[in-house]
Amino acid sequence: MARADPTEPRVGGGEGRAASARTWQTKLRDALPWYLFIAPAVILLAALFAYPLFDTLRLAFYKWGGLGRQEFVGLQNFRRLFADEIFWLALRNSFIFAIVVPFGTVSLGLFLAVAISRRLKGWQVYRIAFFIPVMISGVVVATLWANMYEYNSGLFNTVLRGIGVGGLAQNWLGDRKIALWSIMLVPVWQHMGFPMIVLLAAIEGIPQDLHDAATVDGVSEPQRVWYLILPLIRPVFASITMLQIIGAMKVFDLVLVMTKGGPAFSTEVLGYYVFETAFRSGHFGYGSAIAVVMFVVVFVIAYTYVKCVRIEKIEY
Amino acid sequence: MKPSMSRRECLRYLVVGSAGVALAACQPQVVEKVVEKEKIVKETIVVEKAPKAVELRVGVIAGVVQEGMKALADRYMEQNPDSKISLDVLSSEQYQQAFLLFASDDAPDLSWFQCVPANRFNDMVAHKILVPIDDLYEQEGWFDAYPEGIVDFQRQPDSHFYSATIAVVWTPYVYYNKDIFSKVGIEPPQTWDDLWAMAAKLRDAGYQPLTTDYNMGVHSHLHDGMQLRSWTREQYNCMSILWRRDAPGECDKFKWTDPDSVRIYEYIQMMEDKQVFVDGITGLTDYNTARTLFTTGKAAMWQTGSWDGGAAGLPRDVEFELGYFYYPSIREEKTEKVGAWVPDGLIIPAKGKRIPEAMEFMAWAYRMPQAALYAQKAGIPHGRADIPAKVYQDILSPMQFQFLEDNIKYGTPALYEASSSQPYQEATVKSVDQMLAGGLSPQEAAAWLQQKLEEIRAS
Repeated sequence: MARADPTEPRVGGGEGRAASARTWQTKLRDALPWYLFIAPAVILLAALFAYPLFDTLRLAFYKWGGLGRQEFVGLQNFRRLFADEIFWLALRNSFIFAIVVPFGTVSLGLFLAVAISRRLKGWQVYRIAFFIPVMISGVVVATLWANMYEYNSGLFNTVLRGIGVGGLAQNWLGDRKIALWSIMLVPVWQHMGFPMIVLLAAIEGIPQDLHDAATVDGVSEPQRVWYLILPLIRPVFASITMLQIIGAMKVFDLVLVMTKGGPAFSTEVLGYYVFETAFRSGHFGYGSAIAVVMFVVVFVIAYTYVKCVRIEKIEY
Repeated sequence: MKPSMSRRECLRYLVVGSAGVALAACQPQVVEKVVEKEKIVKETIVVEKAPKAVELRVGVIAGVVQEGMKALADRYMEQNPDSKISLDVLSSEQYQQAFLLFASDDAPDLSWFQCVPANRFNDMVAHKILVPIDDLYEQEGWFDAYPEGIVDFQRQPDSHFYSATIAVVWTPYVYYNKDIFSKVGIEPPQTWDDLWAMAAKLRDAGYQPLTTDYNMGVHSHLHDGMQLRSWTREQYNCMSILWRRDAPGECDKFKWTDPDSVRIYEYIQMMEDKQVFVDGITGLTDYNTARTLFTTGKAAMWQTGSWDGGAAGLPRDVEFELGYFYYPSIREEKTEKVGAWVPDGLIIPAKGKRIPEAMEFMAWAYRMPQAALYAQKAGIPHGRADIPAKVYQDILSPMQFQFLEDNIKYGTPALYEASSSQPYQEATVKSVDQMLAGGLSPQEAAAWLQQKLEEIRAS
C-alpha cells in the first residue's frame, strides 16, 4: 500500500495542496476496506447502544409514563433520586456485588487456571467442566439455584437435614441477612470458568524457558505462582477483573428471577431498580435518571480501575 | 420489398393485442369471483350467522387464555375456511409492556387483555389507543346480557366502552387436601382460632399448613382476602382508587392507618406468628414452586385464585381429593366473602390494520355458543349472566360452578387489584414484605403504605 514518506521534501503552494489532497484520498482509499469491515458493527452499535444511551440521558430530564407527552422537569428526577432511600440501598448492594462477585470469580478462576496449567490428572475435563456454567443462560441458572435454595424441598436444606445438621438449614432467599450473599454465590459459581479460561491462556503463554529457569533455581510451586506467574499475567488479570466488576455492577436477571429485590429490599440492586421503576411502575423519566447514574458509577469505577491498575504490555 | 409498419399501425396492433391479453387475463378472475360468491352464499345458508372471511392477529397470553382463544379461532376458521386467525402469544414481560405494543404500528388486530389500571388500561383509554366498542354493546345486547356491576366496571370515565368481560376469573380461595385433612382429623375453619389450631395439628402430623407464593399470593389473595373481611363496602370501594387524583372527595376520610386497615396487617402477621404459612414463606417467590408444595402433598393448603380450581388447573394436577374454603370472618359489617376479577376481555387497538374485521370477530366470539366454548376451554365462567346454569353445570368443574354460585349469592365487588395502579399494588406487596421480612409492626407497615400512597398520588 502506498504511504506518504515523511522523509520526502515537502512541496509548497498549489502543488502542495494538490499533493496533500491526493495523500488524503489515497489514505481514504487504502483504509476504505477496513472502514467497510467495521461499518456493520458501528451501525449496530449506534442503533442499539448509542441512540438508546443518548435517549436515556435525554429522558432523565423528563417526566414520562410511556404514553403521551413528555414533560420537561429539569433536574427534578435527580433531586428525587438523592432523597430516595431505596436507590441508596440499591447502590450499596450493587457495590457489594461489584466487590464480592469479581473477588470470587477471579480468585477462584486463578486457582483453577494455575491448577490446570500444572497438568493435573484429568485437566482437560476440568477445563471444560468449569467452563460449562458460563455457557448456560443466566435465567436458567437463577431458576435452578432458586429451586436449590428453597427452604422446604430445596437441595441445600434437604442435604443438611439428610446428614443430620438440619439446624443449619436456612431460608436462603427469604432471610434479609443472607439473601444477598445467597444470590452472590450464584454468579461466582457460574462465571469463575471465564476468568479461568482467560487466565489459563495467559499462563500458557509464558515461555517454557522461564519456567525451566525457575525450576533450576529450585522454586517451590507457591513461589512459582507468586514470583513468576502472577507478575507475568498481571495485565490479563487486571483486564478480566475489570470486566467482572462491570458485569457484577449490572446484575439484573438473578435478582429478577430469585428474589425480585426482596425480602424487605435486601437484594435490591441498581439494575433491578431501574427495571422496576421504569417498566413496572411506568416512571420512565425517573427510571432513566437512575440508569444514567448507574452508567456514571460503572464508568467511574472502570476508569479509576484502569488508571490505578496499570495494564502494560509484557515483553518476554 | 414490403414497406415497414407505420407508427400508427404499430400502435393499433399494440392496443388491440393488449386488450385481448387483458380480457383473457380477466376472464378466469370473473369466473372465480362468481364461484366465491356462490360459496359464501352457500355457507351463509348452511351456517347461521356465518362469520366473514377475515385474517386477524390476536394477542393472548399462554395458559388457559391461549387454550380458550385457540378454541374460538379454530371454530371460526372451521366455519369459514378462508379465514386465518393467528395467535400472538405474549410472554409475561411482553404482556407487562403490552400498552406500548398496542400503541405501535405492530399492534395485533385485537387482543385479550386484563383491562385494569395496573396494566395502563386507563392510560390507553385516555390516549385513544383503543377503539370504542359502544356499538357492540348496543348491537349485541350486552347491556342486558351482563350484570349491571360488570357494565359499570367496563364503562370508562369518558363514558365509552373499550372491552367486555370475557371471564369472571377469580376470588381468593384456600384449597385444601381432603386426604390430609381427614387423616389429621380437621375440618375447614369457621373461626380464626380454628385456623390456628388446625395449623398446629398439621405441623404435629408432619405437614406444612398453608403455602402461597410471596408475590402474587400476598397481594392478590392474602391482602385481598383480608380486605374483604376487614373493610366495609364503602371503604373497599375507596381504598382501591385512592391512588387516583380524581378519587371522590368522600374517600379522603379513609387511610391505611385506620384501625380497619391496620387490622389487615395484624391478621397477616398473626398467620405468620401462629405458623400457618409454610416455613420459609418469605423466600417462596416463585408461584410454581409454592404450588408444588401443595400438589406434592407437603403442604395441606394452597392459597391462590379460584381459577386454579378449573379443569385446566389443580383437578388436572393432583391425585388427591380437593376442597376449598374462604378465610373466616373478621367482622360482621365486612364487605363480602368474595370479590371478583372481571376485567379480562378483548380489546381492539386503534393501530390495528383490520378494525372492522376485528369488531366482527369480537361480536361473534362473545355470542352463544362461542361464549360457552371459551368458558369450557378456559375452565372459567364467562362474564355474561345469560348463560344458563345448566350449561355451566356441564362445562365447568364443580369448584368453578360453586364459585359462580357464591358470586351470585354474596354479590361481587371488583377486587382491589382490579382498580389499583401498578405502583400502588407494588407498594402494597412491599408493605407486607416490610412487615413479614423487614421487622416492621403491623402499624408501621400500614403507615409505610400510607406514605407511599401519598407519594404515588402526588406523582
